[in-house]
Amino acid sequence: MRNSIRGTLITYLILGLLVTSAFISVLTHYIAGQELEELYDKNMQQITTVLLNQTPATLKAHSIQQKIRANLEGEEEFLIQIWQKDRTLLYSSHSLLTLPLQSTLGFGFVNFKHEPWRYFSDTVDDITVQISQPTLARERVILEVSSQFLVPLLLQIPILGLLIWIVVGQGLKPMIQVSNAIRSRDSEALQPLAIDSLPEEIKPTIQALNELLERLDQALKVQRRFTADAAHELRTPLTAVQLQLDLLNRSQSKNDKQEALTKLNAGVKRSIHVVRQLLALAHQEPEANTHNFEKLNLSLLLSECLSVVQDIASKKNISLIGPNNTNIMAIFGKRSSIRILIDNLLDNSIRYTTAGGKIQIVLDETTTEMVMQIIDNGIGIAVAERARVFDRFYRIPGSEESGTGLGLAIVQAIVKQHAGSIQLDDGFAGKGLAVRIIFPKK
Amino acid sequence: MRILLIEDDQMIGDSLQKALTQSGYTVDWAKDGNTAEEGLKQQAYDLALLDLGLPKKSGIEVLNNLRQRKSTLPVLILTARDQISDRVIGLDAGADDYLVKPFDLEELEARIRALLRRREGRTESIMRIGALTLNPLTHEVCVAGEPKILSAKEFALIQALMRRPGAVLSVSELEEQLYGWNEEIESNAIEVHIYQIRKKLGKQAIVNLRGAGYKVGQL
Repeated sequence: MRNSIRGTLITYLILGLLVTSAFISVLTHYIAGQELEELYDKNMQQITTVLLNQTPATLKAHSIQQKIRANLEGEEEFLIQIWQKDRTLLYSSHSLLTLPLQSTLGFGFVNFKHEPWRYFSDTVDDITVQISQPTLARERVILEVSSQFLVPLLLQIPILGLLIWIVVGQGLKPMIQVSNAIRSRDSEALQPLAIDSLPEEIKPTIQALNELLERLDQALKVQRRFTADAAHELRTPLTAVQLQLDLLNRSQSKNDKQEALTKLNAGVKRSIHVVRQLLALAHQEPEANTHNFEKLNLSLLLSECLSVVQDIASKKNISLIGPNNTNIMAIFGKRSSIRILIDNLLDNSIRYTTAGGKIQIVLDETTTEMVMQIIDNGIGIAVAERARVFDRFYRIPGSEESGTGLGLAIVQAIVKQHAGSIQLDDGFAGKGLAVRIIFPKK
Repeated sequence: MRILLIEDDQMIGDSLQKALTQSGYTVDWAKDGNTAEEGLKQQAYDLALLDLGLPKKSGIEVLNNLRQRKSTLPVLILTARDQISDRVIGLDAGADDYLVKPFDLEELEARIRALLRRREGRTESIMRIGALTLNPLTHEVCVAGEPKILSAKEFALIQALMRRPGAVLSVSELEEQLYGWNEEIESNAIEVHIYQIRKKLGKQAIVNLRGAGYKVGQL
């Protein structure tokens, strides 16, 4: 069946009406039966009493017999029999029906002519009166009476059905209005829907929808700004590559060509780096799923990352000191993300530490937290800048090193995804930078 | 012809300086807004290439200050911002042209030539004095239709003289046109270039007015 409020309502209401109608009919039939039985029994008793008050002689008279017949008109179903003391039949309302006089007086049932009869008999002096009636005759009347109650019951079904149809339609009108209002919007229009005029029942739904629209609007704005920034950030390295390629094409001598190629190579590498950083950031959005988290050995991951950058550090004559704590430091997270986090922090540290400098990594563990610190004595970040460096594409003014301005934004996104926190402090002896990442223990 | 390149990106600046120098321009490179402003105050340029996202002082600010000093220097904006509103802001601030990154070197050079031509009030791109013609696009210098091969500096020197026919340029003025901030100038460099040009084009190509300087002659 189609999922429709109107259809469901009507179906169940009519089913309910039918069931209650049937129940009422049965009940009516039962109660009416009881009443009618009583009524008929009383009737039998009264007629008997009247007849017993007569003398045999009067009863014998033709005129009386006529009178009885007249009085009983419409109650032909009653068989009235009067006997004398000597068991001779004095009178019978239906002479063809010869129901014998029953042995016990009072009410009783007897089988006669293949059907059950109800009878009542009483005797005074020398007269015995017996009134009997086929039970089927009684039941026919009962059925007739109770069926008269059924008609209005059945009649209300179509009337109520129509009423429900109309009322439900009226009730659902605001829903249709809302859906029309939503349908007529384009995908850019994310302002909330008006809810003041809506019925109480659908207000919460539209309220929830409005909240969703607002979140969507926010997310869309963030996304748009990101796309604009990303486009800007991609244009710069691509411009460099384009110019380097133009220069390569123009170069005449072998030396010029070689120099241009080296520069082009650097330009392409830089473009790739920007693209990688952008993708890394996109992958670290907080909404990103956390179901591929696993138990990770932080000290092992760190030493893997350190071995990759050791060469670069040595070339700059920077001493890169790994953690002395090589116990298993287990955290719960996404392997690729944690690697990107460590790579970015080490890259930053090496980039902004001057030749001959020092970078040290420290791992600590408390009962509830894992703490990783990367401390250097490089150029550091001024206190005033520390809050802003996590913004996407933010670069410290006058920064000599080339960068995308995404590194710390990526780091922060990963930390957030892992429910951790990040702090920036002074590095060694008030110089440089100390980055402290705190992961909660699961 | 001296150009001030204002660009904070190392790779882009490096490539542009190299390419434009090869094309015979003298290119000074300022990497931030303050340096650019200083350069513009101290040196007479023929054109400025301006990036908008600069450290220390924004490109728009540099441009505004330049126009406030009533300078008519042609300014070509080079930027990665491509919104219509950005272009409007740039052009309203007094830029003469606008090029969105990434761009083609050929296009940049064509636009530079167009701006310089407009500044000199020329409509034709080829310069012509008597039998001497110079094509800034192809770097071709001809005497009576016969092509002559000049070095980049020689080309720049004859071009500087041809741009102002009749005007006498002193040695120091020519040095300024030919040598950028970081270039070493040998004491008699200009004289050496002039000697070479006369040898290639003919003695009458450059006229020497003793004590005053040089001007382009009639061939």
